[in-house]
Amino acid sequence: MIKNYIKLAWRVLSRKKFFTFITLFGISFTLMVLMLITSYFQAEFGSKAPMKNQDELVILEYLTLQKVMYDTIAVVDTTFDSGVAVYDTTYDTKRTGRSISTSSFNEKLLQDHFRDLESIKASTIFNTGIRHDVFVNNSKLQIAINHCDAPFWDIFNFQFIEGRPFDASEVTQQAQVAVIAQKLAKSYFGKDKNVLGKFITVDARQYKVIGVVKDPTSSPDPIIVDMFLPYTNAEESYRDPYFGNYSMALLSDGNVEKTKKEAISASHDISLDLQDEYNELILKPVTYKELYAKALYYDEDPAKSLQFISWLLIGLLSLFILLPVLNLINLNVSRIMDRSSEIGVRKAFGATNSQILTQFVFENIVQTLIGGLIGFLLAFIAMYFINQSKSLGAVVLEMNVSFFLYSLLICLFFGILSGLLPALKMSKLQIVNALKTNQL
Amino acid sequence: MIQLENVSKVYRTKTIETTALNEINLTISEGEFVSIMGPSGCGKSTLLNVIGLLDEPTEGKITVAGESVQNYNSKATSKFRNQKLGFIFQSFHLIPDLSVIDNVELPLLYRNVSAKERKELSAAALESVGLKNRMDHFPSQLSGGQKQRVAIARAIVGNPAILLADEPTGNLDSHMGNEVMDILLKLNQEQNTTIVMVTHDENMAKRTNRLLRLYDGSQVA
Repeated sequence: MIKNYIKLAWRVLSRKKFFTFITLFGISFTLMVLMLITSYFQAEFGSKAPMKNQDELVILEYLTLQKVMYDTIAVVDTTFDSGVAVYDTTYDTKRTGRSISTSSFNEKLLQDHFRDLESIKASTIFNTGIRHDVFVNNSKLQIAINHCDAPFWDIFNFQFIEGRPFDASEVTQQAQVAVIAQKLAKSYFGKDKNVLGKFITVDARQYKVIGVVKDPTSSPDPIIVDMFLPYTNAEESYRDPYFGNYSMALLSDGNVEKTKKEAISASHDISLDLQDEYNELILKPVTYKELYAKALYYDEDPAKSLQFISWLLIGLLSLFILLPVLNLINLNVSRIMDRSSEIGVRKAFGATNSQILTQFVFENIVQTLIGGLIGFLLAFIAMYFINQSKSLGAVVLEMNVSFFLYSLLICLFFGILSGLLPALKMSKLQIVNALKTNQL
Repeated sequence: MIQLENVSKVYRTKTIETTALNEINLTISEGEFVSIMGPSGCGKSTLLNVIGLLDEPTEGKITVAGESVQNYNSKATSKFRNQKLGFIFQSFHLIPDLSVIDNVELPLLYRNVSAKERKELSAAALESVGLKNRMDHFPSQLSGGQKQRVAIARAIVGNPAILLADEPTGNLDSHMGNEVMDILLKLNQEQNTTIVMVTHDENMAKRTNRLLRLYDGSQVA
């Protein structure tokens, strides 16, 4: 029976070539886009090195200091009582303006106030990719350097191709050691495979390479750099008790909201010695996803940014799926209506409603799987060109098993939804009426 | 084999009520070849559809092959049609996407018959109508007479007890019509298949065992 369904589905598809082309184009193009989107999100939010802990991360990215100014306004209300003026004065204090400074943190401020929160397993400070020039064979390379501490390697679990990370004592001793990314190893040392123990000169200082990490395939700032150095080697660009070049990642013990609250509460203990300049300190700890959403749509509340971006994405994706499905249902209704006489004959010779329903849904599944296969190949080709062109920065789109399963599920969803409704309608058709249409 | 008691069929719309069959009483014995004649719109096809369980009567009792079938649910009706009845239509109703042999094996497809057996039985049915050499052709490659012979092969492949033919020669010229009629007569005589045939052609009707005449939904002869 199944073999017959496949045979018939194939014949139906090859008989109406233009219709088949339109349908397959719709399915494959939609699937290609969905596959690319799925792959993008998997690259960015999939649980893989070095972002395996991303769901437990709370990031202190920026500190905001502001001076809020108040104006007192006196309103004089004059009335006349028996020809004598009576003055009634009311005073109203209004928040009339503010000056704001937002920047990353002073390293010491982070160390002093946020290292010991109750709900965290670990914490790290880092700066996010300050650019430096290095020279190799008389040509200039601009590289991004992240100055970080030793726990950085526990929180962001990079895959080491060779060597090791720097440890706490090396950080304390200001050791001139470096962990470099695979791409820098290639561009700086060329084809030389053996880079451990070699030196890279940055700002007239020589750093010994002690480890090489695999290039990450997602885009968070602290991880897509070329070189990691102990933060004690960095010079604070300005000596300010609050602002500096550093951010902090807190590895929560599972309850990120609690960690966020603790961080905010800890920020209240920071005393502001600059009353004249600033009188309010604002800290907005964010999760990794909120950090991402905030970059796309800014709201003062990062949770609202994430909520907005999530709903926007769900809405757009639903629309993107819904439109071709409605179109497919429409095409399928007319295609199946065309075959009402066939339905009549099949039922006259003993086909039950469920057998008719199965046949048409099966045809649609076959059609959708073919569309899915074409979409899969198109996505594969598109991914190749996107990755080659580096148009998504460090993000590398790739095919993998779960990605294929998602795609297959999407295919089946399409097939069943677009075939079920018209098939259900037609399977209930009265035989006499179906035969009267006389299309055969 | 077929028994109809006071069978009526009324089509109702909001404004009009049309009586297609009016209290038909009819008994057809096993092995009989009965033809039904009458002017257009007199209810011939409706009668055939009611006997073939393709349409439900408004009133009355129907017994086919010893079974009181009108209370069957949809699934049981499908099974009954598949095993006991075969249909031949005026406009052949072959499925254009299927080859000749795939069209013929259609009733067997709904009977859980193995693919090998389906092929053997279908080839035998096609041979009996003289079209074994055309089994891999598609309907569009056949003449009208050949299409109707394929339709007959499809109707008899499952060896049904009753064959219901709705103007099987209506779309054919007299030569091809006679060929189709010869096949039906042979089936009736050699296989003892009960056949009920609607026709407009007096000459064809004369070749059957019994002639029923309908007029305005009532049996007049």
